[in-house]
Amino acid sequence: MVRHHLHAALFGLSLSCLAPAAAVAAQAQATPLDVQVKAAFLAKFAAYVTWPPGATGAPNDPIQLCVIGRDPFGTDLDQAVAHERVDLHAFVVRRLSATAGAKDCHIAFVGGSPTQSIAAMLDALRAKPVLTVTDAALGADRGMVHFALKDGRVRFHIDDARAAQAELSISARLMSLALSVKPRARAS
Amino acid sequence: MNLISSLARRVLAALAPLTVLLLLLAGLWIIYQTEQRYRANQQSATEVQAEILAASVTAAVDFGDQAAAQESVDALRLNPQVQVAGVYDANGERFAGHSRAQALPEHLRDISPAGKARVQAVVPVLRRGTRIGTVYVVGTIDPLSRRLSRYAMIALLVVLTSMVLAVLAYGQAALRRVNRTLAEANRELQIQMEERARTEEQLREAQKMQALGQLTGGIAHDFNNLLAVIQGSADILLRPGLSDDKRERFTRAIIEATARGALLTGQLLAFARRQPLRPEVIDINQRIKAMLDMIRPTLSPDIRLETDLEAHLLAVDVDPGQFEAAMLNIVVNARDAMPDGGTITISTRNVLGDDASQPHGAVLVTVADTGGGITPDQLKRVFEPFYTTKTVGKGTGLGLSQVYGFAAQSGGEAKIESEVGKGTTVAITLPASDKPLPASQEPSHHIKARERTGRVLLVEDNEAVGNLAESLLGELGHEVVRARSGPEALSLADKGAQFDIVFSDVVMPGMSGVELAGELKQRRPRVPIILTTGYTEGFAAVGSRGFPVVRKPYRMETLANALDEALAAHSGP
Repeated sequence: MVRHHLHAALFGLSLSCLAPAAAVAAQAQATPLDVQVKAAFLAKFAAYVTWPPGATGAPNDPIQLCVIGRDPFGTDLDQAVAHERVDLHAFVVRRLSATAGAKDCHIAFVGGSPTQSIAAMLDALRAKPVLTVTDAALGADRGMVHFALKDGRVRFHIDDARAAQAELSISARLMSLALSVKPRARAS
Repeated sequence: MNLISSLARRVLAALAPLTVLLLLLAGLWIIYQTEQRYRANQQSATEVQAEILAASVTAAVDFGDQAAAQESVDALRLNPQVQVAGVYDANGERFAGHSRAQALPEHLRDISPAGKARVQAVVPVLRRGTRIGTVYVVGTIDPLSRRLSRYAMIALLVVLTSMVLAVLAYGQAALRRVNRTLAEANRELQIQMEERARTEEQLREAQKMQALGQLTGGIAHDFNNLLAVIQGSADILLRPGLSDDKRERFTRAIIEATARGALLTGQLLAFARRQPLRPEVIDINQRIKAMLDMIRPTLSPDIRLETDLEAHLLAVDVDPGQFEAAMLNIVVNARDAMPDGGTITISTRNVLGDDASQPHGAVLVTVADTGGGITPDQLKRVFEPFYTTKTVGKGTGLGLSQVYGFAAQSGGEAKIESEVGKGTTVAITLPASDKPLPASQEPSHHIKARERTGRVLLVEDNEAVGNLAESLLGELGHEVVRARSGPEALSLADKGAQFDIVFSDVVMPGMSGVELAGELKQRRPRVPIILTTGYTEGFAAVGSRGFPVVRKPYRMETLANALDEALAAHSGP
């Protein structure tokens, strides 16, 4: 049953990401296409990241996907994760205004806010087992994953050094897709 | 040994095709196994390639990064083993790929199943156990020709071994075939040889029968003539009132006829070499000289008789009577060959003996005439008995055969050479004797005819001959005791019958005269025994054991002399 839902979700996702022209026509009045893609990406990163032991709780505890500060996704994100699973973990989307309650987040989209800059938010989450994601459209400060548009397509940079500080391990497969990778220090 | 080898050959012949078959099967099996392993290797290599590709494009598919996926696919291009590589998304749509040969299907469902010519792998792209796409890889399989070339060495070995075996088997088969043919030919040859031997045997038998017919016909003819004379004379003698001169004439005719008959049988025996020869050491020249007076009157005046005799001729050891008969036969033939006159030359020569068969040399006697000669085909047959070119009644056909028989029996040989129109030469070679000539050439030392009479035990199985002998013995003044067989004579002797001399036939049923003489000699050692026979076959086995022999037919004088000699010798002075 679960598998079937997954397939359906993937089908929808791939439609949106692989046929941009059709998607533009279908969702013209909704959020821009690249935002939907980023929402889908956010849900997928979990599969390529390994958290330190105990960070993800019990096998069927949900993965907490937090949007801290500005939220460009709206319902798109909720739809994107609705049927997404990583192993037995489902997703829960939490929207926070500041990093104060972000202690249990696994993935955090750091959008910044008037009261707390992206850089400040990143500093607050530094060394915590949270995969920080930033967006070039919102600011130049980079988290572990940093969305960027290249040739009209959504791509990302990876800062593995920062992930290493948070004791996170990012899959090489994911890194192979990155526009650039800032490698972790060999010593650690 | 033979059985085993033939069995081994047969087994080998049967094994050869089987071995070839097994070898071929083994070769094929090895090739099949290698092929299977190769396919399995290619299959697993292709699957590994697909797995690697699937792992490397997971994120690219997940994040829809076609460029990254294509990069991963392109990396496979370096691998010549990968013919086709395609990445399909979760919906089965082509996401990335490359193809070396065939077109890469647009959709996963268009992928054709793997065939014989290729190996392929379809592997899911998994993200944490979730299928997010599919990878399709087609590996290459070497073309058949290249694969086969890999098995060429095996195939070559198998073929070579098979050929060697085949050649061996064929050789064996050919050898067997040749052997069989040879055996058949041999069998055929044997059959032909047997048939030939049989045919020759039949031919010999036929020739023997022909010769026998000729012989018996000749004998019958000559004897009938003699019998006619005897019969006619006897008939006339039975008539009463016959004048004395007639009686004497016909009686003499009978005596002459029997004498000729005796001569005839003598010649027959001479030819059969069963003539009991009485060899004496004689001087041939002397004999010939003595004969000349006898021969001359028989020749017509226009025939000259010449002699050319070797001065110191070697002595020979032959029967003088037979020698004279032989000479007479040759001269008569020579005379008959010259009806218009001519010359007969009798010559003698010494032949030096360097031949082992005649260690003391030999004497060659030749009689040459200047007559008409004998044609070559007749010449071959002149020594055959009863072969004659003379008209019926003029010759018996036994003359030259007597010459031949006499020469052969005396240890020499007779030869005849002739040329038509020039004449004929008969040559007799006689071995020289190592004994010296007797001092005097007294023809015979006849004992003084001391007329003695006594009781004679006459043993004769033939009634007629027995009666005649009894009459003759009676005429000679002897008393006769008759016995019809050897055992009868022995029982008479055992019963104490009195007799002074024994006169016994040799050839009798049951006990021969020679055996009887031996028995009687033990019982009555002082009684003389005389044997009589017309045929020497009886002596062939045992000889006469030294008993005197009177040859049948015998004249009354001969019988009287023999009895007188024996009685005189035994009674002693």
